[in-house]
This record gives sequence, C-alpha cells and structure tokens, in this order.
Amino acid sequence: MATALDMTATASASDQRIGLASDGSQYLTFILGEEHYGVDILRVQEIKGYTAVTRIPNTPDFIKGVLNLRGAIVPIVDLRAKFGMAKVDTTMFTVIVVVVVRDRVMGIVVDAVSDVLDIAAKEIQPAPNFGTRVDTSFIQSIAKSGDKLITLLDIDRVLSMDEIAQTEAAASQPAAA
Amino acid sequence: MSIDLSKFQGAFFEESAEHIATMEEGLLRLEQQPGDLDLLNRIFRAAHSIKGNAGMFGFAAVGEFTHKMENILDALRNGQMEADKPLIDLLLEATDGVKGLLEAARTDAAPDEATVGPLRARLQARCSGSAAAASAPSVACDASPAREAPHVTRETSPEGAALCVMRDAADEPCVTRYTIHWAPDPAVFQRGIDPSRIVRELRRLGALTAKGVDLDHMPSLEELDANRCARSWTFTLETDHPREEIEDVFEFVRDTSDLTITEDRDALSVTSEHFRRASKNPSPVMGGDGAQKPLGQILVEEGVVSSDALAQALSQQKRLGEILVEQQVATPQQITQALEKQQKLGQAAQAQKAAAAATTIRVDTDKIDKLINLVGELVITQSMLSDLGTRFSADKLPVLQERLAELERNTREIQERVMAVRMMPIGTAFNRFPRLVRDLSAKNGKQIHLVLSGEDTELDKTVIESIGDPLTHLVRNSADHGLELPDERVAAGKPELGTITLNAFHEGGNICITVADDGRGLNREKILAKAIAQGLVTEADKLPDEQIWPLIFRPGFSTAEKVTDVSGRGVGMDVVKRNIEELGGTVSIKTEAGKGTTFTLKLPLTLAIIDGLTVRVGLETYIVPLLSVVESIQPQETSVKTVVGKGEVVNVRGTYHTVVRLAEAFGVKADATDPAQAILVILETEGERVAVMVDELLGQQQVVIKSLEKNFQKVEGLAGATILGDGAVGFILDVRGLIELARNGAAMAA
Repeated sequence: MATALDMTATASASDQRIGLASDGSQYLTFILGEEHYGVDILRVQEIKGYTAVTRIPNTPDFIKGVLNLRGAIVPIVDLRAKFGMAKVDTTMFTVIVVVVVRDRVMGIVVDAVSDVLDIAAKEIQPAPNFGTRVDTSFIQSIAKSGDKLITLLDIDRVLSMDEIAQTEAAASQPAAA
Repeated sequence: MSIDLSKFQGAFFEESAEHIATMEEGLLRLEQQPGDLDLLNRIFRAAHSIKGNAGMFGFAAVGEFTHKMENILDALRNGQMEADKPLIDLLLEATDGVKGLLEAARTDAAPDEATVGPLRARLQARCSGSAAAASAPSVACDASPAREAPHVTRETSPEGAALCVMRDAADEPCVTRYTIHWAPDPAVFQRGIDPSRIVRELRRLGALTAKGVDLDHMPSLEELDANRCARSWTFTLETDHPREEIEDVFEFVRDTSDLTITEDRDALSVTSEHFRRASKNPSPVMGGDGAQKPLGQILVEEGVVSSDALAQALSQQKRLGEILVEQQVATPQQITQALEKQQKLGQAAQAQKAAAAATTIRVDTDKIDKLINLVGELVITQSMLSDLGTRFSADKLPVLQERLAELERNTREIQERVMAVRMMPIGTAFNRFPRLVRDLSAKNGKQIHLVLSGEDTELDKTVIESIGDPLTHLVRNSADHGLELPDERVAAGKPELGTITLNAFHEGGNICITVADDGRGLNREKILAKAIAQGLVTEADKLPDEQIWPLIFRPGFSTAEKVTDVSGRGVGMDVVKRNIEELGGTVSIKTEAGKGTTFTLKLPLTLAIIDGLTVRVGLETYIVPLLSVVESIQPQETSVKTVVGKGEVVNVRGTYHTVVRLAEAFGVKADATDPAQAILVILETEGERVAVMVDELLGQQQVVIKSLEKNFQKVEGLAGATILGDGAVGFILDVRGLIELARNGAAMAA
C-alpha cells in the first residue's frame, strides 16, 4: 500500500514540476519478459509483493487463483499466461498489481514494475494492426518513452469477465465431449 | 437555528413504521376489547406522533391525513363513537393510507390520490357524521373530495360533538375556540423557560388573541424581582388542532403552573369562514398555511370570481408543450418524446430513491455495553501480549500460552456478541400476520384464530427480512386451502373456528419456524392425479407420502379447484421453497387428512458464519458445511465398486452412494488414488447423498463466508470462500453443486 501511495505522491509532484498538459496521462509501467506494458495509474489500487495464491478449480490457466487482500477475496490473473508467454519462476521482483476493473478488485502478476510515466498524447499511437495473427483488442495504444516502446493496456478488456467465462466454457467443452 | 432535518428523515420513517405497527396491532386488539381506554390511548399516541413528526419534516399530506384519523380516535376516546367493525375496518384502511403516504413521502413520489382521496373523504364523513348524528351520515361521503367553493356553513346541534363545524366538499377541519388561562410558576425563568416561546407555539396552532394580562399579583416596585414571573395570561385560541396539542405546548410547565384550558361552547358562532379569514390573512408571526393556497382558490373565497368562472379560466390554460407546438418551435413528436423521457427520468429517480433506503438496525444498549466491555478486555490482553513480546525469553512460554488462550476467548466472545447485534426477535416478522389473517378471514368467510408463539426467538436480521414473503405465502395458503369453511368444519366434527399456529424455536444450530393449520390436510389423491396429469410421475410409481407432498413445491402446481386472488394459481409454493433454499434452509411438510398440515422451515441462524469441516486434498484445503455432513468413513477396499458407465459407488451399510473424487472434480493432485487409502465424507442435501473423497479431515471450525462473486464469479462446486487460520483463502464446497458435478460426471462417462 505504502508503495502505491509513494508513487502517487511522486507522480503528482512531477506533475506540477513539468506542468503536465491536459492531453497526457500517467501510466504505471511494468515488465513482462522483455516487453514493457503500461496501465492507467488511476486504475491501480496498490502494488504488493507476490504471495502464494489459492488456485480456483475449473478455471482457465491464466486465472492464477485468489488472494486474501485484507479480508477481501481478490482473483489474481497471470498476465504471462494470459498473453501466452512462457512460464517463469517468481523472483524477488515479481509483484501483484491490484487494479479496479468495473467495481471489481483484481490483481495481475507481472515480472516487475518499472516506473510511473507521464506520457504526452503526441507520444501515443493507435495499436498497430497485426491482422488476425495477434489479438490486439486489449491493447489501447502504443507509446514511446525514450527508446522504449510501451504497450498501453485497456485493463477493462484484459480482465473482462465475459472473456473469462467464454474461455472457461471453451476449455470445458472438449472435456465434456 | 437551522437544522438539517433531512438527516433525521430516515429515523422518522423508521419510527413511523413502528408507530403504524403499533396502531395496527392496537386496532386489531381494540376489535376484541372495544372501549379499552389504555389501548385507545396507545393508538392515539402513535397517530399523534406520526402527525407531529410529519409536520416537523414538512410532510403536510401525512400530517393532515393522520389528523383526520386522530379526530375519529378522539371521538372514540370520548365515547362519541363506538369501535364497531366497519369503523375498525376504516381505521385499518386508513393506517394503510398513512403507510402509502409515508412511502410516497420517502420516495418523493406523488401520493396515490386514487386510494387516499376516497379514504380521506370517508374519514371526514365519519368524523362529521358522528357529530351530526345519524340523521345525515352520508353528506360528506357523496361529495367529491375536490375542493369547491364553500357552501353555507351548516350549524350542528349544540349537543353531541357539536364542536365540529361541518361543511361538505372541502375537507374543512373542525375549528374550536379555547379559552386558556395560564399563571406560570413565579420561578419559571429560573427553570430556563421563556413564556414568550409558549405564546409563539400557541400562535402556530391557530388564531391567538390575548384577552388580558393579569397584573394583580404584581408586587410593588421595591419588592419586584426581575427573576420572578408575577404575571398570568388569558388567551383565546381558535384552532383546528385537538386539545392534546395545546396541552403539549404547556408540556414543560404544566406541573408547576396554574393552567386551565376550556372549550368555548359559545364559539359555535365562529363560522369556518371566519377561521378561514383568520388563517388566510396570517399575522407576520403566525405564518400559517395560507401562503400555499392557489390563487384561484383565494379569489373564489374572496368572492372575486365564481368557481365556475375559475374552472373555465383554468381550462383555457395551456400546457408548455401545446404552446411550443402552436408556436411551431417544436413538433408534437418531439414533445411526446421529451415527455416520455421526463416520465422515465422520474421513474428512474423514484426507483433509485426506493432502493437507496438505508437499512438500519436497532440494537439493545445492553448488547452494545457488553460489546464495549469485551473490547476493553481485548485491549488489555493485547497490551499484556505486547509487553510480553518486548522482553520475551523462553521461560515465559507458559505465560504466553496463557495470554494467547485469553486472546482466543476474547475473540470468540466478541465474535458471538457482534453476531448477536444482528439478531432480532422473529416477532418483527410475525407482526404482520394478525392483520393479514383478519383480512383473509373477512374475504373468504372463514373464521380463523391465529396463534403466535416463540416471537422472542432471535435470528439474523437478513434472514428475518427474507422470510417475510415466504411466511406470508404459507399463511395465506393455510387460510385459503388448508382451512375449511365453517359449515364444512362443523360437518367434520371440528369447531367452527379454524386455527393457524405460527411458532418459532431453536433446534441445534438452526431455527425452526412452523406454520400449522387444523384444516383438511393435503389431498393425496388430488396431488397424485395432478402430478400424473402433468407427467411428473406415472401411475406405476408407488410413491411414499414423503415423496408426494414435495410435489406441491413444483412450479405451476396447484390443486385448488378455484383460483382466488389469494392463491391457487400454482405460483408461490415453488417460490417459497426457492427463497428458503437461497437462505440455506429447508422446507418440510407434515400432513394428515382431516387433521391439518404443518409446514416446517428450517433455517440457519445466520448467513455470515457457518460451522465447517476442513478437509485436505493434496495441497488444497476445502471447507464442507458441517450441516450437510452425515458421516465420514474410511471405506474397505471391497465396499467401493465401479459401476460401468456410472462411475464409482460406495456401499455404506447396504445403501449405495455416488463417489465424487474431489481431486478429479477440481483438477488437483491428491495423495491417495485408492479409495481405501482415502476418506469418504458422506454429504446430504435435500434428501440426496453423495460421498466425497478427500485425503484427510483437518478439523472443525467456524468460518466466515466471503463472496467469491464480488470480485470474481460463481464457480461450480463452490459456495464461497473464506480466510483460513494462516491467512490463505480456502473454498467452501457447495454440496448441491457437487451432486450436480457427480451427475454430470456420470453422464459424461456414459
């Protein structure tokens, strides 16, 4: 919790310093493998170190399980599994980013958090079209920061319950047949 | 002195609901014991409180309506009327009216004039009717409730309750002139009372005239003490408020001062026209409600225009939409759309308000005090522990253990007490039934005696709120289908008076509520015939009684020959069952032809905490609701059999149960794959049993149910989650879901 608070504090301080124009927003960026991703900072509730979760039976792979977050039961999504990346062991940098998605509180497991960035609107470009090969529906846009390319995620779509339910149905279909 | 009253509105509505309950209960008892003055006073006080508070919060409609009830209650109290059945009926309907008005006030909706209007007229008729004696009781009844130009005031006979100056049509209040003589206690100032405030209060009630100030007791100047009051006053007050309100004004000085309030019998000459003028031209301090009258009404009253002319003028008035269309600013379609939108917005806002009603709970102070004591103890234990922690050494281990035991006891007690805060006596759910049964018996011509017992049995507030409807349905069902008509009863050798008994009691960790009648009982043949007709069973099935009765819980199942507006449409019993099951309870039926039927609802005491059996499968821990656990067995190798295509079954003392391997159902790795190495927990729900295979039983503990759906979604086979002792999340098994899983699994294999 303290981490999250500190971050917001620094973020707003830098805000004032550079007089951030209204056409930009702040993003929490994190790393998955070699790739950089960002989510709107306002959607982030807190960042907590990785702790073991309780697996939920009969749910898709990318639902890692649930966690006790101060008495609330919070589902945790493994973004690596969700994006079809290879599994890795947790390290001391592995964290859970707790986000609010349509009144639900959920957590996402990422390899490491890197920064809170102010990204000006002119740095942001629409997501490129990969055709049908890559599902880009949950990519909000692509941003440039220095020499890094950051994929800004539409967190509502990433953690959409409908999709989870669909995946689940799809997963249980072959089993039932 | 501006206080934001809206903060207290919630309390007002809650309190009013209680007052209404008191009135209803009182009226029902009054019917049994007419002339019971204590009872009447209680009803009157309740009505009076609603009226007074409604006035304070500015709900004029509620206040005015209740005032009319009060007039009748007052007449009852004075013996001018008799509490006969029609009157009780009227008053009961009027309480419903007040309820409706309050609800409308709460949601900021327009009151339902269609029901309230005629009721108001009937109340008025009853009030004035009694005053004018039986000779012309229906005068006001015939008049439309709409306000018209005043007719000539009709003077009532000086005897009787002649103080009512009656006029038809316009619901004119009864104006009475009182002479008030008040000589306050000389020490009144020292007690912090300002006589001028009392005078102001009196002015609020009506036209107040000071007749004179009595200075006879004024001491001479040298003896004069400015701190002592030596004056006394005489006022005349013309008011439509009852005497009680005048007395209320003097509430705090009554005991110490010399007060006489006399009704001025000569005041019959005071016409209501006179009063109207008085209230229409309010003195600046008086305020009055004159300002709220529409212009037209005042013009008619002043005789400037006739009511016909006014009506004509009003009919020429156009609505905004029409004007806009005429001026071609908007098309009629646009206007219609906008109007629809307006209506929808209004409805939405209203629905929102209705839903937003904050739920509050009234808690016995005693319960809170105990809780505070316990928290105090907890704080002490905590400080002792932290003290121990700062300089801990191995030899202090026994002390630590002792303290921890204390902490555990504290925690448990606090938990129990906190749960107790949510507990309410079930009487609050039973209260509505005397009225319901009375209405039902009037409607279907049956004589019904309602017996309530165990009203003090406490259970969770949520449960109480949710069982109201199912219980109502069961009671209606008993009254409508269960009990016979009086002559049928006599023919069957039973007393004419049928009895419905509602009882509540604790049984184990459950609460049982029974709804019993001594009617005809369920008809086995009829139910069976209907079930066969609906294809639920075949004639070949030789069903035992226990399997026949639950058929009535099937959707669309009704054996009633005639459908009444009460029941018989076949919707309801299935809803009852569903509602009860949603609360984690069960419904069972016991019936005997000719003797009656008893429905027994079995409910958990609370929804938030359950007793659970923790079990282990591989690395996972699950919790099984203890209520559903029948037994746990370690099967012998020979007792588990594989039935081709039907999965595994276990033989427990001659009965076969389906085996669900929890590890397989949930896709986890278990220690044991051989049932003989594992443990089978036999679970039961709704009469069905299933054997669940787990690795180990860990123990029994109370668990707090946490919703899995709040942040995630429903997961098949799981009823919810909880936090285990080590802070990790554990899942609570859904026995019903497991049975489904077992069934689907069998189907899959087939």
